[in-house]
Amino acid sequence: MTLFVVFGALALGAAVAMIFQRNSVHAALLLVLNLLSVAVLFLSLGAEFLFASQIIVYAGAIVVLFLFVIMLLGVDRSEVITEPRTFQRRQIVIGGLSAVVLIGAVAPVLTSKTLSEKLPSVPKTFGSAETIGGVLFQTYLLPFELTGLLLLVATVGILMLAKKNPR
Amino acid sequence: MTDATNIPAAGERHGWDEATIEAEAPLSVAPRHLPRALMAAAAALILVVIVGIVLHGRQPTVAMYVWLSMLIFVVGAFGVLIRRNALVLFMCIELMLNAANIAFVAFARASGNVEGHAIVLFVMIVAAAEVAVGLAIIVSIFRRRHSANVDDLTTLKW
Repeated sequence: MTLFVVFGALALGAAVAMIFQRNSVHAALLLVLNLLSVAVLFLSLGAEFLFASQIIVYAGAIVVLFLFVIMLLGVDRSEVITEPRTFQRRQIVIGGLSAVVLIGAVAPVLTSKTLSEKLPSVPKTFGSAETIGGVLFQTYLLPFELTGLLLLVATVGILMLAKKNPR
Repeated sequence: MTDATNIPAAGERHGWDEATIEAEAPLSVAPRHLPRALMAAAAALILVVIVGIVLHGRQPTVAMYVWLSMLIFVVGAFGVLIRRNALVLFMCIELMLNAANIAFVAFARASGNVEGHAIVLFVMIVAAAEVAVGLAIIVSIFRRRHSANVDDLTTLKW
């Protein structure tokens, strides 16, 4: 319970601070804080393998890619790093309305009895790499191979996009 | 709003000009004042204590995890709607994908079925591919338009 309260609040707080942060670099660092807190929540749910892969893939690779692009676009250009205060009332109102609608739509389901039961105990090998590997290479073998293809396509696409256009 | 013949340069459509950017930039790049950070930390601590007292002695349930997941998702969606910097928009999308992952793992734990974990892995792989391609697109847009502000990209506006 302590884990859930502390790291849940940390994840939520980092998310809120991120969207109101004008500095892109600070926003990326707050995203790291959020992703690490979520990784700890995974651990508290017995997903050890996902805990490790969350840290490696998200905090290690994706956020580093973000920071790399921020630096590539130029730290000396202030408008890339910071954003002028153009929060218009219309955007805030539309955003708040859609948030209320989303919460209102899901809340009745979440207050139902079946979801409020205590979490059942699971075997020790529940979230281990061995168990997940078994599922991945037996039930989901074809989707797993397709993600490999997806990564290949993404790599080739990035190479094409990043090539300088000959004028 | 804008004629097709008169495409404004980056930054012209806003209520600010180069001078205010130059004046505001050092302020916003400089580190924040310490008291504000301390106040934020104190607010977070008070929040944790209050939530801890309310939930004291209870075991976490699936509903709590899904509530948290929904709140983070809403924050991400709100961020997509109010932010203008393309890089921050992508960060908010990552936030939303990650919030969905929490719900997957919580339901997997509740039903004792590991397949939810496999789905989370797929989500992570797709998110990585999506971010890589998206950032490459942002870089190539920036090379041409010299702007990372989505409000400046109005060439395809009807």
